[in-house]
Amino acid sequence: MTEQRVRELLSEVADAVPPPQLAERAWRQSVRVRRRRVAATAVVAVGTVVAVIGIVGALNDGAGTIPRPDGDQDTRMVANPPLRAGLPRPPDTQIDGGPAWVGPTVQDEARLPSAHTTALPSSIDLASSATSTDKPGPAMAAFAATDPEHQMTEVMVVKRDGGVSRLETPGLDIVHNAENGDPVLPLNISSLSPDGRKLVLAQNHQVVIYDLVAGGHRDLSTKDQVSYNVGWTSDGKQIQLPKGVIDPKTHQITTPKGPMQGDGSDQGGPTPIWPPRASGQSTAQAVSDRPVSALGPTLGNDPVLIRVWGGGRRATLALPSDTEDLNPRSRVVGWLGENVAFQSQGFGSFRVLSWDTDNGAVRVLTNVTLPDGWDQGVTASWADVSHQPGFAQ
Amino acid sequence: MVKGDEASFTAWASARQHALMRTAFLLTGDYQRAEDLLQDALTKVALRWSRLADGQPEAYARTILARDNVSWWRRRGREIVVEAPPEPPGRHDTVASERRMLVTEALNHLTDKQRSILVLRFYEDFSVPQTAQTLGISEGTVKSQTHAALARLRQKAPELAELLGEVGR
Repeated sequence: MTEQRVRELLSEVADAVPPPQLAERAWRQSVRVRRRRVAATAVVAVGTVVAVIGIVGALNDGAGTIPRPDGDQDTRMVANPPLRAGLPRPPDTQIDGGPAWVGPTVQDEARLPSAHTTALPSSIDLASSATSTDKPGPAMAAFAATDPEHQMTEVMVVKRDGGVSRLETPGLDIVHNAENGDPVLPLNISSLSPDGRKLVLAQNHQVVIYDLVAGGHRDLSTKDQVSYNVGWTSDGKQIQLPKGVIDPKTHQITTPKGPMQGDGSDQGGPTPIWPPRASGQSTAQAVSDRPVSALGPTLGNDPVLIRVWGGGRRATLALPSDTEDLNPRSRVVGWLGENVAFQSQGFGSFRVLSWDTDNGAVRVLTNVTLPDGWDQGVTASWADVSHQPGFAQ
Repeated sequence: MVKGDEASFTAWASARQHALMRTAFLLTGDYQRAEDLLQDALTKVALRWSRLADGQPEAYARTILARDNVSWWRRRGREIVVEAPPEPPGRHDTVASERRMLVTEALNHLTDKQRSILVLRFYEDFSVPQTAQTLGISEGTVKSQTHAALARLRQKAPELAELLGEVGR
């Protein structure tokens, strides 16, 4: 039998595996993890107690309790302390001459306080029914996910009001990496133009530029250029290929002299996560794989740093790997006043958070609900939300 | 965590670690990676031992193995290794050893999820709904990817197709 033969072969391979000796080591590791959790909880608790004592010191009558209006004394315990990362606080250390804070883990994000802005909705529901269209209008974000073959099945466009449309993208092919033949997702993190009006998707030896406002699309040959990882430059003036740029007006492809934007990942330094976002003289960008010994071992193996520089500003927010040791897969969405909006993507969770670069406080701007089956392999591309009015804590 | 928990967990893990290691090796194709994957899974079981001890710790451990393996590939980017890794330390009889290496090499042509589906379906004997639930995907995806995985094995590893004989015919 077909299945029986597969079973036999797999069993033959498995039977040759020698036994490990991991039982006692796993128990010891669990004890260490538990101790670290307790220690982390204690740090939060101490911070909360200090804050509560400060409030009590300002309000109490000298007897150590808070007087209630009716004269009774309130001796109730304070419950559910706010997450420290959600509060204004002193920097945890200095990096590159600027303040640096440790941000929340992906698991802790649900406990962060909320912030509100007219630039982003408080929730985006990609699981709700969405109509298909070729002109959804100016977009805030575009989402896509892959099936196990890395084939993109649909592109969901989030409009400025938070509404969701399914972009009509008939006839897309599976894109393959020219070097190793692996499938590549046609949508990547810089596919959506910064103004949210156009979307570029990779195809084999061509790119497809969708006009989200007027509708329709244009196929553009990239000739001998590989087309995956195609995306808009952060100023929105060009479409960038791994080794060249496309002028979206003339559709001319040129290969610039000197390093391309975003180059440097092969130099052994931090890997920039495209795109950077600028506001005035200040720029914010996420980077990964940077040694952060100054912040201790709590960041895990794959931290992401949100870095801000320029305009007299320099600051860092370090986002730890989650408890599954996953890179938080963050990227900058834009500036909202003094705050940097960034995406945080964990296993089964997807949010946009704000980071106050003056005091380190991190808050939730937008919770994204993903459709069933989109917990893995989902990618989002964001328009630049900088300079939008109406940000409130 | 009490002393009794440590004793019961260690007894359970000692008894089941070999079976779990076999699954981990099939999922990863690399003994060292499999050991790391299993170590993490057993640690997670240990952290929840007070709740799992009377339930189904092994099912939980297998779910962790399958999901963490997918996550591991995802955060590092998929690298499809087309050369067979060295055999795990242990048995080395020539013909069987060559066949095992051929199977291991062929499995490396699959995506991480296809590989997980094949292992759960044909080694663990999971049903389609069980496989879908374990990997957090739809039953339709399990069926289509089982078919795609076998087709890919035939395409990428014709030597294995000969071994599989009537597969897909």
